Amino acid sequence: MAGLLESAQPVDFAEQLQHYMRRIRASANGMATEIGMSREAVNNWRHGYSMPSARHRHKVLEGARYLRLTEKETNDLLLAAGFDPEYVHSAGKQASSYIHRVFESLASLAPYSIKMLLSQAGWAQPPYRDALLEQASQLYGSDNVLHIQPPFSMDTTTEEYFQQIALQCRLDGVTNDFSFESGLEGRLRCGDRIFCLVSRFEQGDAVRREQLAGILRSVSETHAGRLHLLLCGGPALADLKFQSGDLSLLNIADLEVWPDPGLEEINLLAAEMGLTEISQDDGQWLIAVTGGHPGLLQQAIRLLSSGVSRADIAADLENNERVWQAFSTIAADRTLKEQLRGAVDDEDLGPARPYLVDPLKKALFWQNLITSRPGAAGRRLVWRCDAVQGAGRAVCGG
Amino acid sequence: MIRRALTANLLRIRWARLAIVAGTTFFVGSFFLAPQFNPLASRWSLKKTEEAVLVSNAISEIAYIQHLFEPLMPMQSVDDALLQDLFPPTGQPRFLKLSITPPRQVVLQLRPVGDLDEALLNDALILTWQEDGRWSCEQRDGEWPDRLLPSECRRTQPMDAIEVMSWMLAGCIALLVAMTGFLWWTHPLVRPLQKNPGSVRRIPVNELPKADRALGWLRHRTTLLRLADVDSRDWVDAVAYSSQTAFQRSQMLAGRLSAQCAKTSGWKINGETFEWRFVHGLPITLDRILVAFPDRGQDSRSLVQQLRTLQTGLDVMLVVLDDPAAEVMAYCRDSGNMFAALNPATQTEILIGSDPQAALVRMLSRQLMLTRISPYQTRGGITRASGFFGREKILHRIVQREPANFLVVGGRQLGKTSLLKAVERRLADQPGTRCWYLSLRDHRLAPRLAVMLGMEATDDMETVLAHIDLLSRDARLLFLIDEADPFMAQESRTGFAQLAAMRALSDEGRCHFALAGFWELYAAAALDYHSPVRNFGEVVTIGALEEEACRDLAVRPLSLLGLRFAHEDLVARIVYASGGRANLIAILCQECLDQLGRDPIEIEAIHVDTALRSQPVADALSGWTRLSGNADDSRLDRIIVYKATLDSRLTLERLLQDLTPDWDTQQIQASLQRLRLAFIVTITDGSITFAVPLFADLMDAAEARAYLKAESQGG
Repeated sequence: MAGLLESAQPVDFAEQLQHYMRRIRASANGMATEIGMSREAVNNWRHGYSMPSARHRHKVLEGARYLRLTEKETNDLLLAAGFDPEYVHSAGKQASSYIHRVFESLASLAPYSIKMLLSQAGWAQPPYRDALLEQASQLYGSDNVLHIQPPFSMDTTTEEYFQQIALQCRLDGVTNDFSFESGLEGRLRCGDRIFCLVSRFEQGDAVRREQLAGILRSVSETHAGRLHLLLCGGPALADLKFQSGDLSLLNIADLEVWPDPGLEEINLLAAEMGLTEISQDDGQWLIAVTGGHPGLLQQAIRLLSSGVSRADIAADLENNERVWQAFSTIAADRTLKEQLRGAVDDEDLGPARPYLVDPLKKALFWQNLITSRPGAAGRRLVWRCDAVQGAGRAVCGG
Repeated sequence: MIRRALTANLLRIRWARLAIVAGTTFFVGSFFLAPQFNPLASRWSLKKTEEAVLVSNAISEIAYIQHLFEPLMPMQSVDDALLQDLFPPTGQPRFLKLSITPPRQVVLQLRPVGDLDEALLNDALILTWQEDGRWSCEQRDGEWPDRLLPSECRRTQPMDAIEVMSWMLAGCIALLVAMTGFLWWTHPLVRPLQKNPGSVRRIPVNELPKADRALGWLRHRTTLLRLADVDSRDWVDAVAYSSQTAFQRSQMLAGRLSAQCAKTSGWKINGETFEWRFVHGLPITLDRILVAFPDRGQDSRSLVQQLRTLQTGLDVMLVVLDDPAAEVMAYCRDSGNMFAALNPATQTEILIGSDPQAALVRMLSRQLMLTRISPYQTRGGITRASGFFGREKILHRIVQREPANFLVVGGRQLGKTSLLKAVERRLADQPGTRCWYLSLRDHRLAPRLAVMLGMEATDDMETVLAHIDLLSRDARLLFLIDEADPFMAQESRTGFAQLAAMRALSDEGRCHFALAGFWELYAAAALDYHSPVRNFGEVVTIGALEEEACRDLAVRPLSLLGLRFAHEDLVARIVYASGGRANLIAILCQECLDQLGRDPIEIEAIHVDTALRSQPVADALSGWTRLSGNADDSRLDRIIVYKATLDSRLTLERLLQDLTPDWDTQQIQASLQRLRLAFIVTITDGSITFAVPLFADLMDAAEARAYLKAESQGG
């Protein structure tokens, strides 16, 4: 933990919360409603009268989303509250080689270079964002890189929503969705090829989100080959592609889930935590024992560098706070809990599909508890690792 | 400095070559035409001249002696005394020794003397006067040359001037023919053209001026260009190409490739760089290329070093070479980088070939990753004419017939957008017609039309239609409105007010609309009897692609890259598995392409097997679970699909038995129609099967059972 804390350099939780709430002029009442807490509890946090309890980590996380914090700010806030960080690789210019492949793949999707990059829980949306933007600037020219972070607030009007996005895109004179679309088209008509990154696409109001998706698709179709679009999100973004019955807004987008980490990513993670390089043997063991789950990886790396034995690490991983929290969220639904009880001992959870319809599998997948791995008869869904499966058994048993 | 030295060397070489050619020409020409000026011939010529004088004198003397003796013909004998009389010591022949041997009558024995001995045979010629008044000739040893003999004694008669000229002419012609033949057979540029005139398109571009001169000299240029199907204007341009500047060359090549050429700067390369934008599209996934024209005469090693340091990002850089140096070619052939070399032969192919883009694509496919330059478009409406296959009857109905409204209905990714874009392309060049394509993102058609026509987004439909009315006076107007479902759903809620206004305008012949969508559009047009959409326009249903078009879609793009399927059966397998769905065929072929290694030629069965199980195929077949905005309708759709998965012999009768009375017949009928439109099921003779065999393969029976149970409980 020490390495992580030193690298993150957290400041006081109350100070941070106060700062972020002032930044977007959020009221305690508004935030309390948004995260399902009382106004008093939020006020106590912001004035330093109390700290979030261990079971309220997810409330702090929801609060961070409401306050439109970046992944790094979210991590800092969680650390200040005494929790593990949520996202890995949220900042820094160092990138995994996967980022390079994302751009190559985007170029090969011409004339509709639209890619949806989906992240399971624990990964930022997208991971390595700074590095990704840095590389985009090199490839497209910094003037041709747009970064859209959709407003989180559910109270934003259509006009405010697109005005905020227009500011991020450096477009003048935008008053509504039509003028935003015209402004974007104008940029494409007179300028060079444009790369547009939409981070955390799924946050905010669903109706505005669909409007934004519609505009981006429409502009892509009208100016084929000119707009390279990378939409980053999670389950809600997948829903928009596969579940949107009325509109096929994103059916032309290529879909990719952020891949499981390899040795390269483990070393980047260790470096981010201020730790020394992981040997190849340890790296492979870490991948096997954590199944590539980012939270488990962080814990295992930390323990390994502290000299804890492999057997003790494996045992300790079953008690990972974030894994338990993920299972607890699912088990809160009685139907899902029953289904989970039936599935927790299964080694094979069925065929992997681009879009999981089954509510339990869908929840487990996006909570990063199960993954898709190649099998004899195509890709299959399996538990990430024994530690995750063990935690699932414990949650169901409890 | 190096450049200057190189140029100086080149100039020296050029002048030396010119000097050698001039010297040789002078030597050969003067040898025949003016030997006195020829250093070698002049000496020989001088000797020959002296000899000719001697011979000439000797001939004169023979003729004189003959003439002198002719009056003595009746004499019985000639003796020395007579000889002395005829030739006093001062009048003796100078070059011939004349002796008369008695008792023969008028027999003259001539022998060369003095200098003539060296030139002529040392032999005596005996001339005897015959009774018929002619001289006969006799030689003891050897032969006198004909030119010295009296005309009666010559073995062959001399030719007259006409004969001489004729022979000379014939000789010249023969020489010309021989030289032509020699050139034809031995000229490295011209010889291959005899067997294959088309190979003129592969002559290195810097050799074209030579080839042009040779063909011109042989008078074969016109014939050859005709046989090779090369436009003579293109040929003239191509011949001049090498002498042009880099900018002019770039423009010429870009023009042939239908690309826009613009100069770019900032590239660390000795030479000039340009950007080509393919506004009408290449048949592959490249919309622009960077093009470098390195300085001429540049060292290949230094050029490779410069290329290694260049960061082209996502763009391919074409290096246009005058000389295909092995080192540069090898570097560019490495498919790991984004460089491709355009050798001189391919430059010619682009300049005079019948399909310049195909030549470029073939060259790129040999040097770049195939995934980077795929000829298949797997998503969205097809934007390139080269990627659109089939649907000719439908296109004919929309483009060629009398103007009318159309409702293009079909499931997602079946080709509605591709069809509209194909209509737009075909009408783009048609005089008197204006065509607009608009993809709706929600129900608001009026503001989108307004913005597209340069009006205010706040203008209502009435104002927009009034503006369209004005525009219609100049041209036939067609509006292609894609993704029209939300608009149609909204219209059905508001009594089809806007649609009625649009219809009124089209009934007057002012303009026409082609609306494309899925269920909402179809339902309004076909199911709602009272809907004004019912007679708004002709319904065009988009389903499977024609079989031949399916095969073309699979095979033709591959052939652009010089690739093919190992067996015809593999194509049939892909077409069958896809059920004729164009996007699935493209995805399957793309997946096959992705598996090919370096220098591939054929797609094998193993590639097709892997493609059929690939994730992108599964991805393309997902998203069918909500075909309608109505949750109950979508649930019924899913139930039918799960039932069809579990019972491969499902019949309509059995389905109706299973689903009634929970669902009424009309709902079931609509659901089946929706599934048919979405190209998920087909109903043949009352039997319900999956339209896409791949879809059936991907459905898992255990999953379907579980989902069916859940859906049934959900009801």
